[in-house]
This record gives sequence, structure tokens and C-alpha cells, in this order.
Amino acid sequence: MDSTSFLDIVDKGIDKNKPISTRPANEEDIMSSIFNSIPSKSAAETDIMDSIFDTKDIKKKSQQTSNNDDLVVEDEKSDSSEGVEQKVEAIDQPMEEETIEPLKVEEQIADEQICEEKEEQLEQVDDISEPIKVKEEEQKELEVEVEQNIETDSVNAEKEEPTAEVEQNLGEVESTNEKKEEILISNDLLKASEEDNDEEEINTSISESSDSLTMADAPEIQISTNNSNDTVIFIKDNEISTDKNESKVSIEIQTEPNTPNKNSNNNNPNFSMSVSNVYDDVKTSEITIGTIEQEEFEKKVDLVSPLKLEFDKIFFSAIPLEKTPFEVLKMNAFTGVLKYSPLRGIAWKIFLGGLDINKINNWETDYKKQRERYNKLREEHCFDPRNSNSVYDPLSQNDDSPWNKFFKNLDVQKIIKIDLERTHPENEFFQNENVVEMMSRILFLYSKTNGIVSYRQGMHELLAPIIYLYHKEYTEYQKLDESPKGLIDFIYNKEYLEHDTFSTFECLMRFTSDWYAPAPPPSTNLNATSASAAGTTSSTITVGTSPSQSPNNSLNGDSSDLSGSQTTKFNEVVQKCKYIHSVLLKQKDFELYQHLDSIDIEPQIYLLRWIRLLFGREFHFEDVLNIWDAIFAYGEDLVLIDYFCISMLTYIREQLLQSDSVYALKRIYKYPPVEDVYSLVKKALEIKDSNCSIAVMVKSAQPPTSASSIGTKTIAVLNPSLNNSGSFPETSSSGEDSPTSFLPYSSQISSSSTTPIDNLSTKTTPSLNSSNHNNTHINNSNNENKTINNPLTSSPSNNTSPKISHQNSNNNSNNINNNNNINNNIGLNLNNSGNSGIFKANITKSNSSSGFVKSNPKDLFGVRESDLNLFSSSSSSSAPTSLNSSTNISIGQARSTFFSSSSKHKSLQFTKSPIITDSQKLKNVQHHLGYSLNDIIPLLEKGEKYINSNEDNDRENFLLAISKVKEIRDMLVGTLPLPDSITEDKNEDATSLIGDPLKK
Amino acid sequence: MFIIAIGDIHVPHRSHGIPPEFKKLLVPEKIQHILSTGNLVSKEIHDYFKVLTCDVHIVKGDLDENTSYPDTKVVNIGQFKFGLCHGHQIVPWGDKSSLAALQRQLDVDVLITGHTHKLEVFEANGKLFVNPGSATGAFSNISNDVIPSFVLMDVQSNNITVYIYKLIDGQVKVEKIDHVKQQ
Repeated sequence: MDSTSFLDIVDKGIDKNKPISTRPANEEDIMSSIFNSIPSKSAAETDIMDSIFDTKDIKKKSQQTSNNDDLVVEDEKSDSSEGVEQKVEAIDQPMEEETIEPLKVEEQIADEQICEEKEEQLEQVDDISEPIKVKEEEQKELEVEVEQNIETDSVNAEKEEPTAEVEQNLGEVESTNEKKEEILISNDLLKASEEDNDEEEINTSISESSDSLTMADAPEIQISTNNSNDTVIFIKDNEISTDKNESKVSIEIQTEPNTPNKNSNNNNPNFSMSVSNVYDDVKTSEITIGTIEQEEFEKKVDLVSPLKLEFDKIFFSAIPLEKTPFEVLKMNAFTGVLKYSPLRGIAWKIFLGGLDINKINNWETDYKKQRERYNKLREEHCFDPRNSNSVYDPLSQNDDSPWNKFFKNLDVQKIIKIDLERTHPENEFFQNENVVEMMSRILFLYSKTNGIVSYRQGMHELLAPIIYLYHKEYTEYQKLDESPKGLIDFIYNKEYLEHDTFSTFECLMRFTSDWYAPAPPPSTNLNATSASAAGTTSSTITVGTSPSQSPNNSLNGDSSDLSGSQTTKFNEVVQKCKYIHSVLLKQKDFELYQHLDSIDIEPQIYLLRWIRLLFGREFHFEDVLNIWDAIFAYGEDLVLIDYFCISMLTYIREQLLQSDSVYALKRIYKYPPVEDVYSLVKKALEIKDSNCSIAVMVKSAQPPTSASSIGTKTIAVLNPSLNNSGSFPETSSSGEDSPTSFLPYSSQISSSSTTPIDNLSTKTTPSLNSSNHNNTHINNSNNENKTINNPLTSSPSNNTSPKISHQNSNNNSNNINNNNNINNNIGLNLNNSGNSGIFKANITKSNSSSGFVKSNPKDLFGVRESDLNLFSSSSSSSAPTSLNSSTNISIGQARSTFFSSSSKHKSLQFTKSPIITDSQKLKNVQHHLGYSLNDIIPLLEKGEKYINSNEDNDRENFLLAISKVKEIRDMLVGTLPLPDSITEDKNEDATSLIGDPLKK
Repeated sequence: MFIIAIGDIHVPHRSHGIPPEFKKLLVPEKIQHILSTGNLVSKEIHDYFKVLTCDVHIVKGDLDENTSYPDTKVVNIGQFKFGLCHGHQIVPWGDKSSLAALQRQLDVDVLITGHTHKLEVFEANGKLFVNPGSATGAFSNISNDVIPSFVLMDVQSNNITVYIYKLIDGQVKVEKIDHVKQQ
């Protein structure tokens, strides 16, 4: 190969003497590609350059490695950076302008030793090169660019001839090996650049073209580098061949644009985990110029698969990451970057608890254990009595007989096989016999470990994406470098594809298997959803916590729920459906909830399928993977599913609202294609964290929002720089009208500002969360959000808080905090920063300890109350009583009751008396605390005397005051029970307490 | 795939019925085919076979009253051709070369014959010869001392695993013989 390439060069040299037409097509392509790639010198130019440079980084490295062979020569080169730069500059010219006069360029270059001011240089070069053109090739100016290139090449080539020959002699020996490496590297770059596509589309086209460049140029580059080592030659022959120049240029240029890139990355910590980070290593290594740089390059020179790069980067980063790897992965999942990451499989495993990310050192043993376990399972259950040496009676009726087990297993396997035949029939991957074999084995073995539930239809749908992903990753991974076998090689062993898939699948099923538990009338979800729905509804009723009443569930109710669900496990999924429908949907989008109720669409009808299959049938296969990214990353028993369901419903909200039951069912069953599922994911997160009705948000953000805008949205959510503008990312996402649409919303909140609809309130009032686990979820989620948004918890909350505080001047600080939260949540910023730390902590404590809930009816009545609030907005805010009563109003409820006078919601049927009593109690609490404080004040005043006079008598008073203050604190914290006459709604207690002293 | 070769029942004339130990093993849905060498004699046994599986092949024994049974029958199961014959036509009874002649005549891979009430499973010329004996242990023309037996064949692609069931002293004994079809 080498010899041929050299011959090629020689030929070229010869050819160049000939007329233009005979020139090798190779060069034409190269040139044209270059030109095409640099069509406009707009703002995008820098990006383009970056991409080019990135791609060519490796080239440089390879060059240097080759140079390393002759260390002396290299040092010369690096030291005499001037010379190198000269070449580089010379090379630049052809890229920008087709005609070059090497000499002039070199002069300029000599002035600038460091490449960082490259762009300026380029401009200069342009200026200079133009006159050159005129000189050299006036006649050709009008001709097509490509032709120009060719001609210039030919012209240069003539000059080139001698050098080329010299090069042959010099470079022959060295170049052979290096060329191969180069090509490989360029391939790597190709992959990497492809990964970047989505982020910067412009880059791809350029990088591709540059790839072609590199491929075509590979041999020439090599030679040129060799020659470059012999500086003598270059210096002598000032006229450098265009070909060489080009290659050189690309190589040298790389360094400068990288630095800006890096800076930008640093500025946006959010993106630190994106695939582009793969370059980070490269970039960082290149920033330093000199010997260190060379060392770095040497390292990079061994070919490393992108997977390994990424893997090492995230899990074994030498540079301390801004976030833990887990967070990085999480962020990736939410933003959709994980899609491009080769580590998706591992990320899933981590998310699902299959691996402990904090103990990477144990991974190998973990993997080993998992694989051994699988092997054991396989030995145990895939036992074929036919192949055993001992004789077993095939006709034996004994249950322990291997044959009987074998036959039983055969039955299960048969069912699995039937299902597998129907797994994504459109996807060729799942028609592959090996894959089917693997899947059936995995499912079968899982069924053996799954106890009585065994295998159920639908599980195969959950396995499909996992095995697809793992198969892809394991087959794509290639060990390119010669480094000793590392963890990554151990993990990505295709032999264990099945094992690892199984363990991940098992992890997933840990969360989902309960949803497959048989319903009373044994039926599988897909075939008999309606039947199971009917059966399960009846069962839920018998359980006693009919979901319509579930909002009334107190904490105590929760525990009873738990026990109930344990006894009737098969209800779990149905209860989940009910919960999603009658709690979440009601809370988030009352209008839709009402509509679905009125047209008699049972939530189980569609939610069973959605939940059990994790939306596997609703979206395109690749999208399902993306959704799963988010769901898994969110963790917490995959609670995001609930909110994703709501998100999906709201996506087709308008269509549902306008349709009757037949069409609505049709719409739900045949879910419309979603351009960007991340918008749904994002909305799910919003819904999850907002605690408010999404009706308004939904209205403003209709499905027709363009995919591109959505894409920016998703990023925007996590991008602090965007948040700094003060507008919430979500509002910005929904379009221009969103701010206006939000105004009434927020005003509603402020008018009924006494409604602490926020994280705190959800904690304190479990009535919001009727499900067993939801309380913890929300708590967790809050923490979660905090951690995620640590860098983000900044301006927006601060911006909003003053406004609101102005509006509700009467409200105490706690309320203000709440409002902050509301707004933050709306904005999806999830900032808890606004909360005053002390109060928050205290309140949560007291609630958790009291474990006692008054507010069940309250939130329902809250609707009423909120009505009042809405009507008399100004007055309500000041009245502390309204605080209690409207704790749990969802804005949706408020809205609907407010706007539709004929709302038939059950809550309205409740009598009003509880409200009065509750508010009365709270008033009592307030007064009690106020009076007790009143008592303290004189004591404190006396204590003041003590400080001055040191009298023992006064000292006692002082201590008494302190003890009283402590008592009150304890009451508020919850360690001390409040007096009987006072209710335990400490949230409000706290507010009132705080309020009183201030007033006084 | 499970195939049962069974024959020479002789109920009710020489035996009162299939031993309960065997009946316990022979349950519906486990066996896919029954190849009977005849001499069931009574229709009840035929019905009993039909309960076990719908695919029952019976050839006519010398004492069978049902004249609709054929003398010989060839059944294709999987990759194998099973030849079925009661065996009283083969002279001398149970003679190996005569059996081989019949096997060549029928051009089968497995030849199942009975009549001798003597269990025999052997390979010759790459072919399998099976004599399941008498399932009831009925006496034969030759001997009084007959061990009740039948044969189960597990056909998997190109090999057959033969399980021989014998009732000795009230205990069911199982033996296994592997046979691979020769191309």
C-alpha cells in the first residue's frame, strides 16, 4: 500500500505537468469538498473551523507520534514552531482562496508564532491572497472554483516535483505504518463527529467532508510530515505543493479553535456530559503547547474506541468532574444526550440499580457475579434430560422428575416463543434467530425466578429494547488498542451479552414485575385489557380505598393502603392507573379528567398498556429507548411513568376534549406520532415538579410546537444561561404567548396566594398523594431536583420573589417562600433555594413526626375556598384561615370551579363545616402561640435587666424565657405535642407564629 | 416427540388388562403417537389408546377381530419412517434376517414388530428394530413367562432415544438406548 501511495505521488508529480484534465480525480474531490464545506464566512465559520479542527486533531497526533520516532527531529519541529506555523499558514490559503502564493503567506505566518489568533490570520490571508490571484492567474478567475483549484494545483505541482521525489526517499520507510494508523483514527473521528451531529448540524457536513479529505489525503499527509521533519527541504523549497499544504494546514490549525471550545464548555457546566466531551480530553491535552502536548498526543495515538474514551471519561476521569458520574449520566438522560452515548447500556444498569456507581472497583466482581448467577440459572433450568447421562423416565408422574420440569418449562417457553414472534415484527433485529433464542432464554429464566407470576405477556416488550441496546453496544465495541485488558473489555464481552441483558432486565423487572401480577380473572394485558379492567375495578372497590376518595387519604390512610395493596398485589397496577387518573390527572388537569370521566373511559383501558409496556407500543422504537432513558434516570420506582402518562394525555388534550368516547378511545389507543419525545419527557418532569394544574401550560404549549423549538427547550431547561434571562425556560418554550398566558395563572396564585401549593405543602399534606409511596417520592424528588439544579438555583427565584412578596405584603415569609416555589415549579426550575432553610426543615420535620393528617377533606373544600379566594382575591391573602383551608387546591380545580359554575365535582358536595372548624383551630393555634410569645416578652425584658444588673431573680426569668422559647420551638418542630385545643397543622402554625411577633 | 410402541395386549382373552403401573405412566397429552403392533383383540383397548392420543396406528394381529386394520403400515414421524407389522407373518417368528428383509421391503428406518412377546431392541445395518413385547405380559405361543413391557421412543431430529419400560416384580424399570439415523 505504501509503495503504491508513493507511486501515486510520483505519478501526480508527473501528471501535474500534463494538462489539467488528466489530473487525478482524487484531488478534485478533495478540493471541492473543502470548498463546499466553507461556503459562507458567517458567524458559523468558527463552528465550522472547530469541527474541522477537531476532526483533524488525531491527524496531528499521529503525525507527532510518527515524529516521535525521530525525537530529535521532532524537537526541532516543535521548538521551531515558526517553521511549522509557516507551513500551516501556507496551507491555510488554499482552503480559503483557491490560489495561493506560498511565499507571501509564510511571511505573515512568521509574524505570528502561536496559532490562537488563527481567525485573524485567515482574514489576513484572504486579503493577501486575493492580489496574488490576480497576479498569477488572472485569466482563470472567471472559471469555476474547482477548476481553479485544479489549475493552481497543477501550477504548484510543477514546482513541487523535486520535493516530491526527495520525499519519497526520505519518507518511504517511515510512512508505511503510520498511514494505517491515520486512517483508522480518521474513522474514529468520523464516528465522533457523527455523534455531534445533532448539536451542531453544520459541523457534520464539514467534518464529513474533512473526513473525505483526510482519507484521500492520508498518504500525502504522511509524507509531508516526514518531510517537515527535514526542515532543510522545506526551507529550500519555498514553493510548497498545494496538496501538502492542505494536509498540513488541517493538522496545524486544530489547536486554536479548541481553546474557545473548551471555554464555552466550561461556561456551560450543564453540557459537560454531552458527547462533545469526548473531545474534552483531546482538547485539554492540546491546549498546552510544547513537550507536554507531545506526550499527550502519544497517549492518544493508540487507537481507542469512542466507547472506551467515554467510559474512561465518565468513570475514570483523571480530571475531577464538576458532577458525579451518576449525575452526569442523569443529565444526559434527561436532555437526550444519552442517546448518543455508547454508555447507555451501562447507564441503564446503573439507573436500575444493577451497578453501584460509587463502587466502580467492584464492577468487575459484580459483573462476574451476575454472569455466574445467570449461568447457574441456565444450568438449573435449561436442563435437558435427553442430554443427561442418567436415565430419567419421561413418563414419570413425579413432580420432581426432570422430565416433568422439562415439560413444564416447555410450556412456558412455547408461550414465550409465540410472544417473541410478535415482538416488533417490523424490526429485523428481532427476527434474527439467535436473538429470539436469547430472548426466549432470558425470559424463560426470568420466569423461573419470578415465582408465581412467572412469565406474562408484555414482558417480552420490556426485554426487547434492552437486548437491542446491549446487542448494539456489545457488537459495536471493538478493542482497538493494545492496552492490557481493562474493565471495559471485561464488560463488553460479547460472550456475556445474554448474561448482562438478563441482569439488566431483571433489574427493570424488579420495579415492574408487580404490574404483571395476575388479575383475579387471569388475563393478560394486551388481549384482555377490558376484561382485566373490569375485574380489577371491582377488586379495587373491595379493597375499600376507592380512588375517588383517595384524595381524602391521610397518612394513616396511606399505610392502610399499603397493607391493602400488599394483600391484593394484583391490584397494584390497577391502583396505579386509578391513582394516575383520579389523583394526578385530576390535580393537574381537571378539565381533561372530567371529560374522560364523563365519556366513561376507564383509565385502565389505556393506562394498563402504557404502564406495563413502559410505553413500548405507543412510540417509535428508538423513541421508546429515549423515554426509558428519562424514566430510568429519574429512578424512584420509576415514578416518572405516572407523570409521563399525564404528559401523554395532555399532549392529545385538545383532541380528547373535543371528541366523544369512541374517537377519544381511538385517539388514545392509536397515539399520534410524537416528533420529539423529549418534549413529553420534559413535560412529565414539569408536571411532576409543578404540583399545579398544567391546564394553562398545556394550552400554551400545544402539540404543533415545532420539533426544533422543543429541542431547544429541552436543552434550555437545564441551561442556566438561558434561565438568567429571568423568564422561565418553560414559558419560553411554549412560545410567545406563554408569558401572557402565564400571567393570569400566576395572578391566580397570588390572589389565592394563601394556598401554599408547593413542595412543602405536599409534604405536609399527604392528602395530595394518596398513593402509598408518593410522599416519599415527592420528598425525594425535591432533593433530587435540588441536586440536579444546584448550579441553577439562582436568579429566577430571586426575581420572582420580590414581586410576589409585594403582592402579598400581608403574608408572612413562609407564604412568600411558597409562592416562590410555585413560580419556580411552574418554571420548572425546581428551585428550593427560595425556601428559608430553617423553616423548611422545621416544618418538614414536624409533619413527618406528627404523621397525622387533617386535611383530607380540606383540599376538596379547598376548591370552595379557592373560589372564594378568587372572587375576593385581595381579602383572602391576608386571612390566615384561608391558609389552612386551601392548602391543597390544585389550580386546575380552582379554575374549573371558577369558570364552570356547573362543576359536578364531588368535593362540592361536602358540607362546609369542616372548613370552619379547621380554620377555627388554626386560629386557636395562632392565638395560642401569640399569647405564649406575649408571655415571653416581659420575661425577656426582665432578662435584659439581668444582663445589666446580674440579679439572680431576673436571671431566672431569663432562663424561663429561654425555656419557653424552646418549648414553642419544640412544638413547631414537632417533638412536643401541641396543646389539645390546637390542631397539628404545623405548617400553618409556623406561619402564624412567625407572623405574630412581626406584627407586634 | 414421544412415540409409544405397544402391542400384544390380548385383553380379555389372555390378560385382564394393562398393568396399573403402566397405566399410571400412560397419561394423555404426553404422548404424541402410538404405534401398536396389534393383537389388542378388544375394542376397549383401542379406545384406551385413543384417549392417550389421537394419533394411533394399529396393524392387524393374528387374533384381532377388527379386520379393518392393515397388515403392515408405514408412518412418517419427523425424519424417520416407522414400519409397523404384527410379526406373525414373518417366518420364522422374530428372525433377524427375516425382519431385515421386511425392513428393506417396507423401506423404513425403524421396524416395529411384535407377536413373540419378547422385548427386543437392536440395530442392524443402521436400522432400528423394535419389538415392544407384550404390555400385559400375556403368554405367547412360545412361552408362559412374559415380562410386561412397552417401548417409548423420543424422536429428536435425526436421533431416537428408546426407553424400554419393563414391569419386574411390580417395579417399572426403565432402560435407555440411543439410535442415530444413518444417512
